[in-house]
Amino acid sequence: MCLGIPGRVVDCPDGADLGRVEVAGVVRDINVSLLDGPFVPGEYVLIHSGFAIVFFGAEL
Amino acid sequence: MNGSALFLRYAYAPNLLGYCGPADTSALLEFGAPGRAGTGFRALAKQFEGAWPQLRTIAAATGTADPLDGEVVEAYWIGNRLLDRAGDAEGGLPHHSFQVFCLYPWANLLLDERRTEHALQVLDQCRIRWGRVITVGADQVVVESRPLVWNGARLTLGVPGRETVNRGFDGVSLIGPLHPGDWVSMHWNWVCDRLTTAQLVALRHYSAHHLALVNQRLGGRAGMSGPRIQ
Repeated sequence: MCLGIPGRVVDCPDGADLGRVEVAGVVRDINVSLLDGPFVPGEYVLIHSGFAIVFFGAEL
Repeated sequence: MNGSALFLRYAYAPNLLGYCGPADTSALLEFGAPGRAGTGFRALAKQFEGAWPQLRTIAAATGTADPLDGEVVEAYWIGNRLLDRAGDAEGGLPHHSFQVFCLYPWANLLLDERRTEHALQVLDQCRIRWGRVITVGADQVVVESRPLVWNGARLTLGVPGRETVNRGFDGVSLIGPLHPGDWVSMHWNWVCDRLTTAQLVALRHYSAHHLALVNQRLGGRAGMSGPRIQ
């Protein structure tokens, strides 16, 4: 079905489970609770099935 | 059945959730509805970067020219005889359950206690599961099915439980009327299709095959034991 896709953090309040992440030009709510934050806008995460599962940092 | 329309029934839910495929779900509906499928839908289907290569693999292995052939699409989402000619050396078949259980990261995340609950939820919702319709509403149905459970060492199917799933909204419905007692397939929070007996048997069979494979990889044992619904 789906592959993991990279997304760029747009807004993610510290401690929140959901963050706004840009994926292929579309900003979506992504569950970031599986990773340790905080997440800074501009950083990248790998997303699968609505969850961020890998943290990449500021550069891919 | 038309392969494009069948693909749409199974791919619609994760696309609507934004997990895969093109950003514009309405385009899928426009091109994938029965009688409308054409070259436009093919371009959209290729954007399902996990499913499309599997369809191509099945088509190539079986000498089928079109990856959106109805039998090829059925083989990937539900399972059928085509899969038995398309496996790899390690036992994996180009079936959706192979991707969910064996290729995606979620099975390994079961072993991380902080992530177990989410991982199990994703595995259960992302696989194509089957269940029996209990009651039918306008846009939702109540279905009895066996959820995935994790005992710390292996994945199995648990005792039957009831869940409410969507079958349409705002006049959009991809399948015909349902009745109590029908067997249906589900993907995320949507009913995909009414299953024939042969399709139900195939979906159970190929799901069990890959459940056994992932349990083997996780160090457990095969996991289709437990009570049946019927």
